[in-house]
Amino acid sequence: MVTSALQREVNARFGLLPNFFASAPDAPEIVEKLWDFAKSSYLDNPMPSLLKERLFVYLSRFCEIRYCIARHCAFLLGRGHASGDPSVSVQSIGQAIHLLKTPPPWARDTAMFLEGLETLPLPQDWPAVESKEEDWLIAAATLVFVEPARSNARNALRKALGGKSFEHLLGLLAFIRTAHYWTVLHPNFALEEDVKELLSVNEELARLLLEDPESGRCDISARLFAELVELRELNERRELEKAKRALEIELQQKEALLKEVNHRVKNSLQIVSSILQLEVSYSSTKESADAMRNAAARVLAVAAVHERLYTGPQVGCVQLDSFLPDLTRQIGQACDCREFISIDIDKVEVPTDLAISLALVLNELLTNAIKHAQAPYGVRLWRDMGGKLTLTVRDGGQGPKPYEGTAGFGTRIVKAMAKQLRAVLEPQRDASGYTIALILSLPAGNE
Amino acid sequence: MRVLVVEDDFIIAMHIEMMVSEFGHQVCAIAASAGEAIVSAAEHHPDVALMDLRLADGSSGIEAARELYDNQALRCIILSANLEESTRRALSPYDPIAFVEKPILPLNLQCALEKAESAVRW
Repeated sequence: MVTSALQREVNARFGLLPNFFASAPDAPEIVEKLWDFAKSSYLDNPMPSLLKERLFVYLSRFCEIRYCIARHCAFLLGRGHASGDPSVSVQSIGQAIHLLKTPPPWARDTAMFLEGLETLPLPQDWPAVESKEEDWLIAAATLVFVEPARSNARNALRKALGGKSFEHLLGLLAFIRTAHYWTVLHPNFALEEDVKELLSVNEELARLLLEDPESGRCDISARLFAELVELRELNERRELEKAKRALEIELQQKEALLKEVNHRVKNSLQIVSSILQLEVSYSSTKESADAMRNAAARVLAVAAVHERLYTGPQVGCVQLDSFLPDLTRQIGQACDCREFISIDIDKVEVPTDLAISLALVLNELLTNAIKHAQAPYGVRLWRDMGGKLTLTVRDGGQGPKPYEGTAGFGTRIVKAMAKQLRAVLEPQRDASGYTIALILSLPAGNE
Repeated sequence: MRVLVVEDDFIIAMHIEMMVSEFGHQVCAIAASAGEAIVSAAEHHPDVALMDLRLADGSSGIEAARELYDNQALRCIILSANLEESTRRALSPYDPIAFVEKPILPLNLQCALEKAESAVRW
């Protein structure tokens, strides 16, 4: 229903009133400007009317809302004036179907038609309808329309058409894109009666117009969304990489700090150990020298654990077989033991504090054995199937006599360590000697 | 053997000197920095250097080991509280005789010195 001055003008120009220009009744001033745009870039565009309409039809394939393609196909077929030009020659349904069935440029040899365009002799007039050159032009224009970022199609068109005609073409493309977007924003445009009638006439045409698989190709919002998603992912990737780098730096700093602390602890232990061993040589009496030697040996037992600390693969754990043999030989040397000490240590990894306790116990038991009993000496450590850890120190003697004076510091250390480790001490005498065993359950999770 | 001790901590150096003597060798000099080590080595012509890696004035035992090896054909026993793989790799061109972790177990130092002795004799 034609009501406003604008609608009268539109109606006069097209020979009917497309619903497009009856849209947005709440803000007719917007539609007025759309009409101005339509006139300047489409209707009054100096390009040939039929070419403009054929482009409008073909490019409307790439719009989800089917209003434009149906409306402009109807124009092409003589329902209303194509490009607002009553003098334009009407096309047949067969011609329209042929146009609509032209494969999109990305399904064709792009280089072929772009090169074809570029080698056209200048000056090039607009190509004739359904000529080879028109086909090239529509294909190249479609590329520009759907993928404006691709400069090769733009360049070919500019070269073939010259600057002025090229801009006319771009003006038309811009309006078609705007028209599409307007219909996307107003998705409920009704098809005009003449269009509905046309669709009922030819089933193939109706299918081509309404069920185009290419219709989603140019959905601006979908494209924008896809670009946004891509941008966001890029950003997230960057953020992630930044966070990862920060984490790596932090880890490196922590490792450096751990190394530094470790270095200082070891060095400090070395100083303590050095002081005690120097004290031995500076002691004036045998008693004080022995006391210093005992203290030095105990510190050395702790130091022996630290010597191996952090060099293993797992911080906080120590491989017992990596230091107990060395410590055993060290104790032998410190006690001036000339005898062979048999050593048999299973490969067991334990937490550092447990390793230190075991080192201290071994120091006391072995020192005691060497001082008070004869060879053969032996140190064994193994883990049984039940997870129990056993450390034994064996000598060729008969073991301490019961109630032999007050317990010394060494004995107290062993008992205290056993208690601390919830371990049991099991002495055993047999014909060939005396064995004392420290038996404990390994902490949970220790394999 | 004549032994150069390169160690910036005085107490540890004294202790090392004591151990070296106990094991039947003679400490010809004690140096606290890389510079001192190079000067002392040139002056005393030791058979081996016991080399700490963190030295006085922020100088490096690795540098000292390189100088001694390149210019005086002197090999080192490396003593350090931080003998990780990268350190060992950095030192390998200067053909160290042995690595001894700190805190030092005297027996380990003794073994290293025995190794040095056979290397020097050879």
